[in-house]
Amino acid sequence: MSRTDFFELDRPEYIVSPELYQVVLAWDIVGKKPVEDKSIGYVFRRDLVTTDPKKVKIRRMSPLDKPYEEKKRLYNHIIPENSNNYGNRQVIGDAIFSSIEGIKSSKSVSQCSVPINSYSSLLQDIRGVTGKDRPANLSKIINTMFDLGGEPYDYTASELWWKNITSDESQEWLQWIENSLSAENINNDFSLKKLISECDDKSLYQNIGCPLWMASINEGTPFSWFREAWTRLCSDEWYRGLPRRRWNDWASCVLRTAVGLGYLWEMHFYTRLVEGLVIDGANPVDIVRNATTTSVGLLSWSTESTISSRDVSSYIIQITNQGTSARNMINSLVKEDIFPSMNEEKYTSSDNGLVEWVQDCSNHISKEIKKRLSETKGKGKVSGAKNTGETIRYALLCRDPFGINADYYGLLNKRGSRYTVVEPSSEWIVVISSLLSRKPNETVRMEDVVRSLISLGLKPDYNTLVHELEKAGLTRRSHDADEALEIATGF
Amino acid sequence: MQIWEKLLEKAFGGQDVAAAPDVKKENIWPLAPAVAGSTMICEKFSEEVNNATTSNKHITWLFLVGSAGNGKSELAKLVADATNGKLEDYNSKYAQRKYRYQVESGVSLDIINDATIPPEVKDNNSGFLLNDIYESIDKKSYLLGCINRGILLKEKKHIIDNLAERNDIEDLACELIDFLLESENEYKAVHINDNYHKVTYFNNASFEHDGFSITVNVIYMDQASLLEDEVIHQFLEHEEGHSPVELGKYKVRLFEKNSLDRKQTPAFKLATNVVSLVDKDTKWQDSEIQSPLQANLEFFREEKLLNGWLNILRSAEICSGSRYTYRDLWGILVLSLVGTFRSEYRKTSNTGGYVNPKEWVDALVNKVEMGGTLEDVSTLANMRIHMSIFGEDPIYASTHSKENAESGFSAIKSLLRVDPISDSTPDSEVAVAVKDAMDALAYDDLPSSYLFTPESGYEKAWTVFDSWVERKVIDAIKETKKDNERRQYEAWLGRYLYRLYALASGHPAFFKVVKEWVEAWNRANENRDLQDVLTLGLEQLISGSLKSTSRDSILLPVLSPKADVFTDMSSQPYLALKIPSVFSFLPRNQGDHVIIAINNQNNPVAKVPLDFPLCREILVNSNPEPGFTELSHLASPRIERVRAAMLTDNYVKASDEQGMRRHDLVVMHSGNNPISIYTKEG
Repeated sequence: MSRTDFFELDRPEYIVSPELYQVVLAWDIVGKKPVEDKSIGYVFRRDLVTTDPKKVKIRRMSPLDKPYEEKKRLYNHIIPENSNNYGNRQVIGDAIFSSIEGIKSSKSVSQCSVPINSYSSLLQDIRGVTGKDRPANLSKIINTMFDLGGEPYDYTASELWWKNITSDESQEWLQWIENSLSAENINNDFSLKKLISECDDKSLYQNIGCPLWMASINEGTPFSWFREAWTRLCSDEWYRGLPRRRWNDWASCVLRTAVGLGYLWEMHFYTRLVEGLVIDGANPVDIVRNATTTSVGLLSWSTESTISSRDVSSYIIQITNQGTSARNMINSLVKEDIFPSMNEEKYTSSDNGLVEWVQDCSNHISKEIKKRLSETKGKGKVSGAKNTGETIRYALLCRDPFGINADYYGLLNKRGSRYTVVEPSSEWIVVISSLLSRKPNETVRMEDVVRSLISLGLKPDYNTLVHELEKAGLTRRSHDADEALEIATGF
Repeated sequence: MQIWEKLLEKAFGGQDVAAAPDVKKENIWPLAPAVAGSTMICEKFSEEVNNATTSNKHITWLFLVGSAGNGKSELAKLVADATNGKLEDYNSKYAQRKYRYQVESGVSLDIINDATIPPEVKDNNSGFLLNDIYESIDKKSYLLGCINRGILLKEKKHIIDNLAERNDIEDLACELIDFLLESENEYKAVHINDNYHKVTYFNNASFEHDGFSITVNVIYMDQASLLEDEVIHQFLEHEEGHSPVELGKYKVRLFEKNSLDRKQTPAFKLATNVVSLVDKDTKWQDSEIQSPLQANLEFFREEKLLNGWLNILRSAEICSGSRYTYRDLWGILVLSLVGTFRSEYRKTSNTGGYVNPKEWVDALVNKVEMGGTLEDVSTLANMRIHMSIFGEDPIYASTHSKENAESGFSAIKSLLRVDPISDSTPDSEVAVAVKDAMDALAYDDLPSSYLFTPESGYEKAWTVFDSWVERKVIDAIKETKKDNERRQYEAWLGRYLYRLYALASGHPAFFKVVKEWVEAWNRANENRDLQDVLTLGLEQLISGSLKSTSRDSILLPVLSPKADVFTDMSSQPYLALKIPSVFSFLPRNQGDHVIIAINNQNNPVAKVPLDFPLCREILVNSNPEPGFTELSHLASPRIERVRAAMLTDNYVKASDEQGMRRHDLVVMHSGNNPISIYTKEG
């Protein structure tokens, strides 16, 4: 275990498309793309009128955007049977590629394909989708968060996911689509088939483990929630129990929720930790409890107050500025050897490790250190905080509430141009509550849903939560049930 | 204390407290039988305890599972009173978690009166019920346990978190918790009696320990309604001290017009007994204006009207998907007799308590007699049973509003849903009758004289007080020069008449929906298919817009986020799976609920609870012209998931294995015929 800060989480960047969270997992398994020109970036669809970014050579992969002749050649190749005239082939080909289009927000220029299988996952990469030559390593972030979810595990998040989408027991029509997408000339730069068949199904990511004190947080964390929800979603029961596209949408939902609320939790952690350290004589146990608790609710969620008081956008900006500043300060004090490294085994391998670390730090807090720590508060804009804030916001925000590519899996919703409130899209609560069950067609209880939301840092009032579950058709309010209210799984 | 003040203690939010086995509190109120015949089972249990001998190798336990206010503590008190035993180690003036009785015959009886109270001595924060169970096993005591479902969940969590490694007795207790929660586990020590698996309000199991055999009975008190006929059980001959029970059947009465009879229900017994007690204890003053409270009592004296009231309550249960507890019933009864709880009823002194609401209303009546305003008339009128239970409706409110209702209580909220006013469609006979009667105003006649006639059978619902209200409002209609005021008064009078007429005749809002739901429950009970009207509507809901031209299959978009057809989707081609559709719908009972098992070509697709929003949605879709309701958003996600379930690997695999279906992958494009990509023969 080698840590330079508590969680070893890279600084993130705003993620443009919900499907990208899964796309990076596929690349984490197959490795780097076998092209010499590293400036090439692949994207499923990108607005044709948009100029390409300076440092990335964009390759559009969807035939829907290709010139007529090229598209014709491709379709003739990938749809060899069943229809004699090109008219039908064009309709069939267009149907395949328009059916796998992912979510697109109105302001975004790029669009991913839905990663229903390994081929469709690799029709884009993060460079092409973001248009950045050195994008943040999203797969590392996701796998790290999975690691932070608890005791060491045999698989990485990428491996669990890959195992499912490459399983060959799928329905015949899915195999038919997979065969079509595996055609050699979909990507003229290299063979996807070869890339997939030669990979060893192992993640590039190296496990870093989870400090024991973190695995022992009673209420749980967004990371422990992620570990549990992801493991369940990637189980055979859930993979076979959901329609294929739905499984992919649920996977994006779990990943976005984990990344968004995971960073929010991290920012909250650093903010409260520093706040505690500067209080003279504060009990380390209390400092740790304040820093790690989620039961206070990290985002305000209630339908019973005014829109302005429910707004979370300014809070996200404020907590990411303060959290980033606090994180920077803690890490520099460790680097300067003023604070002990949180990496030491006595801290990482004990349930009480964080309390001990805080205790040891308290012994080194001089007036000057206290001043430096105090100054992290109210610093205004902090470098790097904007990216974290945008990651949180856009991971959780409903990208488009209407239309053919509507996003049903957001947690936040915009209200007018000013406010952003916690107001889950219709399927978000379905995913969260259903994945509390080990398999489909079961029921879970209200108490379990409440507990899992608390681990995510969400604490809606009872009526709001029941209303959400009723809207999703999962339960009916019953005044005689309370915590024992039964919630059906979505499938 | 006056009876009317005592009544307020039983109102929603009143100060009445739960019973306890040892508390010798004066109880002036009559008791009615508990739900699902549990009173009989408890009486039999006491008899068994009294007849037990120390040489018996057989012990019986009884658990009562349900929510607060269900009457569990009353039953515990009943058992304690009927047992010839002495209370051990008792030194508390408050209700306790657990009591132990030493019975004259030498056996002991443990009563867990309220499992929500933590024990006085505790090492932990949970696992108390498990400890109680260990103790009763260890001491070989008889046991009566009153348990909320929430407590069972807590215990289950305690087991998962803390009891990974268990000894034999812990294993046994954990299995018992699973049994009480009806978990589908593999049971090793506890033997579950399959004879009762179809009876959702009762379960029976047994286990052996240390040479003793222990029979465990559990009654789920939240699985049956107090507004349905009392369940009568038969007890067979004693078998070594315990009496096997032949359970009575729980039935849901058909909802037919003019066949209201809820005389055999526990709720009927409670209401009639309470009203006769109040009647006996009350003297009415002589005044020109009758008290609305007196008018309310008159309503309850008529069996026919009381049946109407019970019918409305039962429909509110069905529409809200929950069942009233005794606490709820009491609250509704007080609301019906006294009207909405007013802040003026609460004494301002430190000692608390209530003023006499009857005297308070009498004073108001006297004041109005001296010359009151129309607002005073409205205030008194809103104390009438038909105004208070559906939410007060002041005559001067700008619109018909239910804001005055004590909507914090979900039992009241459920009544608002069946307010007849919210369903005054032209096909409702009640609505038509009231509308016709209101025409009388144009001829200077009284609308009530056309509604509450001996021919209608509801003449007793119309009291002297109502005539006074009608007269006062008609005077106001005549006097006003303003059209909008006239319309407002007329509309209010219409609502007043409509609510009373509907209540008297037991005709709730959405009568047809409730009627069909009850029919479905009964069909489920008799293992029959779902009735045609629901079958048609449900099929239309699932496959309506997705039917292929051949009508024998549906076309489901395979890779769209939802298994729906979007209008703007037709602009570009998309892939769809053509699935033969021969749906069948089998209703199944689960206590007081109905679950519909949906099969396609005999292959299970999904199970959906038939609740009010879905039942209503199905009915509006059973016509050739499908429609939607204000509750569509609650029903449609479930229907969408039913469709989507046919795209899962599990479903396709199962149907492939049955070799019953043939599914084709097709391309849908701009309203043209689908292009078939391949055909899979089953």
